[in-house]
Amino acid sequence: MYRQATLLVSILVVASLFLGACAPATTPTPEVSTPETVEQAPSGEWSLAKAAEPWRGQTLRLIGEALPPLEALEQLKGQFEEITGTKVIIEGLGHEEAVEKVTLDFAGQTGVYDVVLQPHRALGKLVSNGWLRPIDEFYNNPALRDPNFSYEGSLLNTVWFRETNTYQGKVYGLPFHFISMYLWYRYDWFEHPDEQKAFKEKYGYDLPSPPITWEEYMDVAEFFTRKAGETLAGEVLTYDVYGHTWGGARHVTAWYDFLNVIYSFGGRDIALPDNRGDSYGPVIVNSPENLEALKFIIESLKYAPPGVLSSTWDEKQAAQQSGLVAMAIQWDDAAFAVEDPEQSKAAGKIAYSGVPIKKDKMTQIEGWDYLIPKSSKKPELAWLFVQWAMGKDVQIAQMKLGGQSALVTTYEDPEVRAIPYVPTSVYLKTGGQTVLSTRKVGDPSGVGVPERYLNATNPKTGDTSVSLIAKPTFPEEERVTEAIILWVNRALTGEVTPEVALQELEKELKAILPAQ
Amino acid sequence: MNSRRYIIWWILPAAILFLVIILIPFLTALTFSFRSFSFTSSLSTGQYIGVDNYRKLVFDNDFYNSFKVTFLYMVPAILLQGILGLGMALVIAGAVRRARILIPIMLLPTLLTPVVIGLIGVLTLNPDFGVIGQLLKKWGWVQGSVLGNASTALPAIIAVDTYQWTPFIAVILTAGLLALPKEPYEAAQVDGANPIQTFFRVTMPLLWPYFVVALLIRVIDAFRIFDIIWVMTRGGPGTATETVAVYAYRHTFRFWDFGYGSALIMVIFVFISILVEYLYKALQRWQAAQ
Repeated sequence: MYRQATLLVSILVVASLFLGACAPATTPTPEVSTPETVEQAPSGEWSLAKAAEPWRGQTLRLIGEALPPLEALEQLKGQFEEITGTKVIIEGLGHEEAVEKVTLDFAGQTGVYDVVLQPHRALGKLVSNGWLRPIDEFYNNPALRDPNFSYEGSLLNTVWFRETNTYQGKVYGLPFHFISMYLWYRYDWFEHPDEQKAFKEKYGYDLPSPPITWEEYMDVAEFFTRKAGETLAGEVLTYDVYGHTWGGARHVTAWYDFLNVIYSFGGRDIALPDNRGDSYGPVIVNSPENLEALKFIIESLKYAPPGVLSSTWDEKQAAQQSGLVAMAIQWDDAAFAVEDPEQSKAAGKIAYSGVPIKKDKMTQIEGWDYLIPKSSKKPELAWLFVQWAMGKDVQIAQMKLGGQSALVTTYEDPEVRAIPYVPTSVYLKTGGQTVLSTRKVGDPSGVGVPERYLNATNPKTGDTSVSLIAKPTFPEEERVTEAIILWVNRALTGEVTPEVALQELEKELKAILPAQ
Repeated sequence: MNSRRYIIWWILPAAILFLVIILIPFLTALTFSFRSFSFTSSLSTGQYIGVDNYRKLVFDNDFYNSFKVTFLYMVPAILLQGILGLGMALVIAGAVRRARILIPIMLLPTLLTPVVIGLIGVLTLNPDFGVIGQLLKKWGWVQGSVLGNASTALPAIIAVDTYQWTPFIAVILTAGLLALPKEPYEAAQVDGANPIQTFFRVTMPLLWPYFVVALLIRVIDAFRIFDIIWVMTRGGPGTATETVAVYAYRHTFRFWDFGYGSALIMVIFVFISILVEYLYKALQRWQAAQ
């Protein structure tokens, strides 16, 4: 009681000492073609209209990250409003602002939001403070559950779902999307005969399209770093081009990028028992694998644009869109903007592979969830909205605007399967089990999982599967992440050596995690 | 008797407002500073811990670093803004009739929100896409990223802050210049003072109270600077641009540690109060000596 009653007031004073908040991010979104039919339960007595009858005339408020998939939801919400007679308000903010605003809303128990979209790593904080309702209370209620709706059997991957939507055995959310990072590369440059010839002459082996080891990645990054006036893929450059880009700023991007390399090098920051993020084992960040990984990253920055040390995912994306770089390891929910010819010089010239391999062929698990807060005064209506949003039509419409659906049924749609990044995305999220299509060197488009990556052996398992690596979701996660960002940034900028960065980071993480 | 009753009614709304939005939250934050209270730690559930947060703060090197960064930002920024602001004010006050038209135009950067100013800074200083960033790279003044280099990030923030706040100081000083009495100037002319002597012996002492107002406002602002830094560098690279406000924000809204965050804010509050009081008295003494 003490916390709830006094926190709102204290937040006011703390907030009043700072100036304003950051502006919400916005991205122009093309129109969504509204599906002609609305998916409703044909069987039995249940209907969405009937289930939502008690809330007719009321307003539902949702908050999430302002990216095209959320804007697709904004354009489709009219169907839900029409069926239920309710009004839906969708609020889009930048990634960090959305997290901050939701935490403040929950802490103050103001009950402004009925549905919140949050990154899965916030689950521990949200659950341990008692702010979320488990989904079961709605899912197991026949009055609220569409008899045709079942998420269990239609998930792309149950391990991914377990990590992103459950906490200590309870389901707290449904997936807004599953997202992963993969290697984007300019196949038009990689597969140009002049470049292939020049690479072989310089390095003594064929230009790998795509690179599947970090050694290849470094060679390719060096190879494609060119000055204005030099030739690239048969054209004289009017600006400098770089082999790759990276997130070097003191920003969460640096954390994600660092994790990709240490996981692949066989390292970890914190041991997670059974590959589950809701508890933790020893801090093991100061390891030889992580040191090698950090040194590798620093070395690779020679082949990145000059602004790399102040780059976040936004600058990385801008570098890709402007044709400044040959490669980037980037989020799949950013792919849509880079494949949009109106925004990007590189549209239609990119193919998608996995993160390069050292001791593991891996991808890190990440997702955003639909969550229903305890502070909502209309949790049942919130559930009905989430259930509707998980419907096939909405999922497909979101995919066409850059979404990353967690449901298998979405990928049955031929238009979805033809999106260039989708096959690699599905391949990674199913741990290398599902191949929608493959891409051979020389293919005229970027669609399909590159054969080279597909056939690459995972040194950890001995087969071609992809390891799915869980990340912390326990309550201390945000402190852990901030500490890693700071020390990685210090190492990247040369403020401290990689050795000192990892030593100090280990001390700090041990101080943050009480059981250490 | 009647007028006294009316006075109470006139004061009451302001008093209630003060109580609700300043005093109660302030006292609540004060009590929080004696508790262990964090959303991101299972051990911090709001229990009373005495002065532990303050004790932790005494040994917190990053906190001292944030004070150092605040002063490294504040002193050159205010000096620069004072000199440039005075120059602008002299130009504008010299063209008295046009001054009124120039003032709103001059104030445009100050009227923009710091977030927008910060974004302008980020975009223009980017060495890959930004106009200034590319020029700096071309001239060889900065190798790499201005905002990603510990030695250039803070000067860049000072430059952006100066762009925003110099007009504000210029407006205060312009108002001061236009309000100065004519008699001392006439006396100086009679005594044969040249323009430089007149400026330093007459204008500056008379303008001093306006300088003091501008200085005090900017000193308080310097301790609150957050938006520009957060947008441009988030306190990085490393902690090179992490001022006390950014540091307190990180603990309060990134680590969600309201106990320690409140303790930080209390210390900053006390420090600013003492500093402003000291500066004010020192400047008064200096003026009296002049």
